[in-house]
Amino acid sequence: MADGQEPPAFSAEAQVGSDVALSGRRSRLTQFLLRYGIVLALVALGAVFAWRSPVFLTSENLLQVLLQASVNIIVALGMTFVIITAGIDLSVGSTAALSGMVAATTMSTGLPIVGIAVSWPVAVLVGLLTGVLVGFASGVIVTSLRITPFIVTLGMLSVVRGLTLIYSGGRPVFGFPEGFTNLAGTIGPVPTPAIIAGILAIISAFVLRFTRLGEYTYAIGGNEEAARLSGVPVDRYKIAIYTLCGAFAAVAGIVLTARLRVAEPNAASGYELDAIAATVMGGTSLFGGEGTVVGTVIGALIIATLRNGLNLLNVQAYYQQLAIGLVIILAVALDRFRQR
Amino acid sequence: MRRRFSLSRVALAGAALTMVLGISLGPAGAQDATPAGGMSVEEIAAVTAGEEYKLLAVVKTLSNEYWQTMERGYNEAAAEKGVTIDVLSVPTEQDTEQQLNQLQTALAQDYDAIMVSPITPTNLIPALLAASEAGIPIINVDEKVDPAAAEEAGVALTTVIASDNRDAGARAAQYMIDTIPDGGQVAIIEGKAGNQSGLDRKEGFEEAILAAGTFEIVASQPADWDGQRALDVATNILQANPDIVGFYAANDTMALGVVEAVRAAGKLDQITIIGTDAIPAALTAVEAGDLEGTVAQFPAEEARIATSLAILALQGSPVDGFIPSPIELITSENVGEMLAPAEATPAA
Repeated sequence: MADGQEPPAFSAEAQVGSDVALSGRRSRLTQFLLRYGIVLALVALGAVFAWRSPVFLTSENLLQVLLQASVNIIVALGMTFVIITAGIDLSVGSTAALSGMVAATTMSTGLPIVGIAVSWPVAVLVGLLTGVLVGFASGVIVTSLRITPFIVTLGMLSVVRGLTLIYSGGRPVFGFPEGFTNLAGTIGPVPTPAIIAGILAIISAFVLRFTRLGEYTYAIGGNEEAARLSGVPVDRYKIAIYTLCGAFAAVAGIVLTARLRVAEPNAASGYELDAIAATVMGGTSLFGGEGTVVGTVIGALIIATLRNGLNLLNVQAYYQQLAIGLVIILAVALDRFRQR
Repeated sequence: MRRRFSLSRVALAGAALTMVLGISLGPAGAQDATPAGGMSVEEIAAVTAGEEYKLLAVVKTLSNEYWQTMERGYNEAAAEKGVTIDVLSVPTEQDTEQQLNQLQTALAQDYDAIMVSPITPTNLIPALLAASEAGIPIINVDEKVDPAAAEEAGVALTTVIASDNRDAGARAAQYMIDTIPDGGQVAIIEGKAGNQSGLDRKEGFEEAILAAGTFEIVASQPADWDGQRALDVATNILQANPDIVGFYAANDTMALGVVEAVRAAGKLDQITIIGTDAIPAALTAVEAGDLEGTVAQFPAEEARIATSLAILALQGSPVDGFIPSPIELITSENVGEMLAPAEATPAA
């Protein structure tokens, strides 16, 4: 370690460690308020659509909104971890596309390189592993070369999309077994992607709240140098967090492939922006140190609700772009007012 | 490689012959200059070069199957006609400036003629002006350069060959009119807001379907050429309008998303879905009966005709004006013919 001052850091650890816990508690309080503001935004939006469209409040439509938010929620959960560390991951859309493509080709032509036919769950695991590797690579580059995450992941956005195109020859892959496409089916009345997103959200919330990984995520984002001095193995945890983000993107890419029944090399382009929007609307600070899973989920629900409502009302294309942008700004503004 | 070599040899021999018999062929050449417009598209497509011209083709992005097919068409045309064709492309359809830079750089390499498919109607104009001033014939292929902007800038386009996107939309509408005699509610899944091809397809569909008098367009919504977005948008439209009988999607990626939305709603039997472009995944869906039809364009054939047009221009008998490239509605009845050659061509 470059810092090299192991013995004094040991005693400092306890002290700064309690600071970290303190700031964590404090930010949780403000985050409760932030959450409140963002819930209001969602309710207000829902009220407008319920007033204008008789279909909006039906249970079928609300389940659709959940389904339509699912892929973005999954991507945004990983993004939340990364942004809380004051980082960013712009490569998640490309990672989702590559992971979905690898899972798809594994299903149709067997394991990469060796070409041995495997069952679809194994193919899904291979897809997941792909996302894990991409995230791990980003994390290693960010920490070992000390390049800002924005630049590293901007590069990875292009690298990974390029790999997807090379690997697929630019052609879509389709024709999957029923078991796989059922990942996008329903369990009872509830869409399976929403259940997957829900489970991942609960796990993420638990990790952020109750584990060392969660504590260090906030600590790194709050003050990376202080965390480092207090003995947090910052680099190792950062790599873990980017790896986690890659894994989430991979899950999203696999769910997306199951939904569409086709893996497309250009799939999920621009999804990083939706994920960042959901995360930031949910009260996660781009400067790091604060943010919650609940906020992110609600942020993603706001985007899905907005798109759903605009479709129900048949709002013209140009005005949709305007409306989506304005709502993002308004939602964040509402948070900031609440915070004061 | 071998085939191409022998062909260019034949072409060289032909060129030599032309020089020797220059006088006797002279009048024929002069005669061509005026009625070249009278040639049929098939005749134009079959033109071969008298000498090995060095041509440049600019396509959009090879991350899209449509442009991959067009690149293949250029390579085949080069072999068939005995010319050299270099093909340029950019990573994504957002890289408008990079496409311009590429073309500007390439122009320094002394191409005899260029065949260009600009990403937007105006992004290549500065480079086209340079080409124009250098007297290099410009064949505008598939995506049209804005004629007013070109004229304003002083760009002289030799020939434009493009499919009529309004016609593509109209064909989809005509199919619905023919197969849904009672009419009903229909919806359009648009491309990215502000894209000209998408807009033309949408308007062509609208105009034709409304003219029938029995159809009502209950929704027209953008899905940004994205499969998942189209799935969601179509689902939402179905929520608001459960009685819909038809969807028209401005490209096939979106049409396949609509298929999944309709499948989830359990209405594949009741709703007619038509896409555009005839990408292989869509053809498979047509064969399976999930997608009713897709409006096919033939980028490889378009590339072949464009190459002929460039050769004609270099031979001093340019074809002026606009040539519509072939389009066809593919349904379960003729999808077999489309699938067979699509599989055969990459092997050639």
